[in-house]
Amino acid sequence: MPAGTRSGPRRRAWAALVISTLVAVSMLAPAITARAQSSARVFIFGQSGDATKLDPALIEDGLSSRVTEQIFETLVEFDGSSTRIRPALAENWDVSADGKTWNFYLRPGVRFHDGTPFDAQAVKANFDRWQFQTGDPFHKAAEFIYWNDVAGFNELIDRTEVIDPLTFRITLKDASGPFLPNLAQFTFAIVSPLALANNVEDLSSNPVGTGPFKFVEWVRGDHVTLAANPDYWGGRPQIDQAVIRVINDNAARFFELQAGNIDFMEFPNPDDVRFARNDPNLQVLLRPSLNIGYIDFNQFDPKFADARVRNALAMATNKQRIVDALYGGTGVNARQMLAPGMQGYNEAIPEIPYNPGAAKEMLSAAGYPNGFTTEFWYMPVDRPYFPNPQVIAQAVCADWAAVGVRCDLKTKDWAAYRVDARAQKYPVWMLGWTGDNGDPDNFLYFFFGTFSGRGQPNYNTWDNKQVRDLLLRAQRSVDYDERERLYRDVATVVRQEMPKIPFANTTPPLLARSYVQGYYPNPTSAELFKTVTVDR
Amino acid sequence: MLLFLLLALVAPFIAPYGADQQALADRLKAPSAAHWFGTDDLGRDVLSRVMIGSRISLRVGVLAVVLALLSGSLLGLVAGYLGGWTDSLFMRLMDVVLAFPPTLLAIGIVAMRGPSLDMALVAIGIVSIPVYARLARSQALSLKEREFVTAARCLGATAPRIVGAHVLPNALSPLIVQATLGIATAIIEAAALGFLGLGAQPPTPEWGLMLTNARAFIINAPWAMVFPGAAIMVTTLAFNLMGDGLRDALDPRARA
Repeated sequence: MPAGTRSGPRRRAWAALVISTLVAVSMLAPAITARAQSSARVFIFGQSGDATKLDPALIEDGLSSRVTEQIFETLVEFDGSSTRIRPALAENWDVSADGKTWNFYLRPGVRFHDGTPFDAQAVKANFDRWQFQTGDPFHKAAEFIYWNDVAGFNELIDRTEVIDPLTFRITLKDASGPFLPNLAQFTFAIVSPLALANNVEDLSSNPVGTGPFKFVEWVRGDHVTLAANPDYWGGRPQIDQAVIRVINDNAARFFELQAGNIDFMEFPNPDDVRFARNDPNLQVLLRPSLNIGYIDFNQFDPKFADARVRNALAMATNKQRIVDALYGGTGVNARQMLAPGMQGYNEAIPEIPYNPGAAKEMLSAAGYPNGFTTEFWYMPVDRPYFPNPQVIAQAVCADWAAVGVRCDLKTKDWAAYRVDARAQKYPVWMLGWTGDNGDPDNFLYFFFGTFSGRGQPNYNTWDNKQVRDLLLRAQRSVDYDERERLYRDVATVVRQEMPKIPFANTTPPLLARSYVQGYYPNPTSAELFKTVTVDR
Repeated sequence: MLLFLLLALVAPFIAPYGADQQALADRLKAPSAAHWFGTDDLGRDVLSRVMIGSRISLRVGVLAVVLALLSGSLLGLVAGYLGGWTDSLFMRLMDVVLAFPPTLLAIGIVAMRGPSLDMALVAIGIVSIPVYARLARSQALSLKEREFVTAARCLGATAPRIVGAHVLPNALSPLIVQATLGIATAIIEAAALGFLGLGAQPPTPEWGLMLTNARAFIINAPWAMVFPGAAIMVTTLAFNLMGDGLRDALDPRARA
């Protein structure tokens, strides 16, 4: 084709392309608006990290339970923003006079998302899975950390029986004060026995419960999508879809919220909470305090086996100054290993004094006049009790350096971090706890109640039989006053021995777009999306 | 450039505050007479940290390049001079290293041994070896055909002596130019690894690490991020300009 005539059709082709693009865009525009309108019923939660698994029996972290709590339900659950117990899959219950026999009367007409009926057999299948860990076909080489270490159910529960299709009986070896609140924990959620039978190895890819939301997809490291369950016994949720998006960086998550790309977020930077308070499009919600951040010592390390060293480091830390500066006004200097206001919180125990001079003397007495160098492990992710662990670790280590203890700061991936903490691989590490049910047993029994010895996975390295006995007695009591007394005694011993440094209790801030309603911040962080509305 | 070297040398003496000196009451303060570059989230003086950080960047830059220069030149000269299968073996090895993006390879090396500034230094050194190896090899290839080398061989000089006494000195100037430019690259890579949490560990005042820590406050305290970033830029530019200058000065053709 001659060169001169080429430009004509070519120019026309360009024009056609431009016009067709414009047309396509103009056709897309209503589609985009329509999606924005339909997304009015999607609730997007910005989460600081990804879930590890979606099998409620195997998880132990809030990032995973945020997802499983929407899909699965427990026999009893927490009421709104409190730790009061209300009926869930069990409509009501009774207990024998000796406190050992519990009958649960199950809600009729409930079905799992796979269509199979929820009944006493289904509950029994789940309890058998937890209880007969090595003999049960549904159990495959997994550790039920909550069943064993947190609730102590392995020691407590004698047997379970199906009385009739809607009556389930649990017989305990002893009466137990925290038994019912323990059952409300996310981990004792009832999973469809059919799903267990089909693929117990990887329930994470097909979690099937009775809850208000059905599982749609999990794109690892990115998001989990859930859809409203139209047949939910408590009525269909107000929102059509819940998306839990992973945005690791606090500042990035806050930008997404400001931009309206997400509706809700956890763990804002303390300095961003101030901005949110002044933004008319945002609201700040505070979770009632039920947590503790602490610094833990590996007592299989000879340095930290000495209570003088642990006490010296506690006194060398200017916690008040750090909490004031780095918690954005949402934290208090912790005095003991419970949150203030809980049963057993011993008001007679004062703050740990900040006294570097006395700390130095105590270190000398323990044989370290010139201090020592230790690895100090800080968490790679922000948690409610440590809003910026790396910065807090640097502040603590600056205090320790003043008494001659030099830190080698270290961290690693969050999942690996916890595994290694439990495997006792660190000399000193930061960790914390958010209560699951408001009972002191849920804190103290987990911290100090079990001891497995060196090399056996257990977060606790403090071998103190006196405290273990006190904790077991308190767990086996249903007498409020007696339990109160026992937990106060535990607090006294713990203060003298300082197995961990209690660091801070917080009221964790949550940020939301102003149109989000019906979200109840719960002290246990068991927050259910079923009541949430998003009327933009 | 000279200013930077001088700064790195005397930083600990002239810095107004200690690099780790915290003042939680003065956190995230804007630049002022007391703190020219402001303070970071632990109330540390950003100016002092940037100044003291220059030593770290210089150390990583120089040591990583020295490591790469020594091992790379040796490999390249031997491969180029001997030729044959030695050449093929060494150069294919270098090709394998070159096949990976340098930062990715450095991340891999650091991941194997755990993050630390020294590992970052070694990793950056390793990934830059091929650059020097190839340069040295090409020099050796052309030099070994020159008359003075043939003369030395005729006089019975051994191969190590020829490479050491005759080839190396003549191959040196392009290697030095490359090394100067390499320092700039090494500083950037060290900062990148620090930014990713794979290089220096807190509380080290390494520039990349300072950037990543200040990122959370980019809106309310931009100075904590701007100054370390500017320091990286200025230093890298200085080394690059010096490299260009050296090349012009050392290149006989350019002079003519």
